[in-house]
Amino acid sequence: MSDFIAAASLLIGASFMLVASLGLVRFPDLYTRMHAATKATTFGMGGVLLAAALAFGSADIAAQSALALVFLFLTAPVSAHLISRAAYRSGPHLAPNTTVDDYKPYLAEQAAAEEKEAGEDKGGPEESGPAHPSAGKVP
Amino acid sequence: MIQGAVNIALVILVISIALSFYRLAKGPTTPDRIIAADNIATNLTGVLTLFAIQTGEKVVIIAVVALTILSFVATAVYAKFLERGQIIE
Repeated sequence: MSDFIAAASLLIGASFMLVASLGLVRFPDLYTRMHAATKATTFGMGGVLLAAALAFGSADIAAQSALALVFLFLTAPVSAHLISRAAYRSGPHLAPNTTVDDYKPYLAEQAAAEEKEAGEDKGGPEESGPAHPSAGKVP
Repeated sequence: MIQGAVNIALVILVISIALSFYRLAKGPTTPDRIIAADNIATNLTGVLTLFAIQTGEKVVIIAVVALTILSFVATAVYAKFLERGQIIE
């Protein structure tokens, strides 16, 4: 019985990862691709690790696969957030049919607040330098 | 039954890695390529888990944890490099 559940969970997990890579190929924009690549892949890996825990049937393998799942759930959203923020600051690259862009007015607010502060303090060292010159350039 | 499912899942994961390679080659911007490389690493952890199920080796599962952490560190360092131009300032 646990064999059957493990096989079903394995196939579901693997098909989720296939759909994630398909989304990585087909989506029009950097940010939508990141949605597909991180969320669906993490869920698929959950299915695969559950199948491993069920197929081995011992407690130490179950603990190690639970540990791997916890690390995956912790690190995948953080890396997605870091990459998307870094990619936005070096030129947005938004798809042409994007309708809502909430980050641009926030960035403009930050820049205005920083300039006002720099004007009051009579200038200190610049806090945030420019992004790397080769970031985001079309090769 | 589990071994048959492992074979099918291995084929599915290899196709998924090939699709990520397409995005790695084509991606017009650099962050596209970073996402594709991270996706390849995560799919590779799936292949490692399937290898562990197929051969019955229990010691491979801990390599899955190590590979997850390593790929996250690589992605985070590259994001810092994209944003600032250097990693340690």
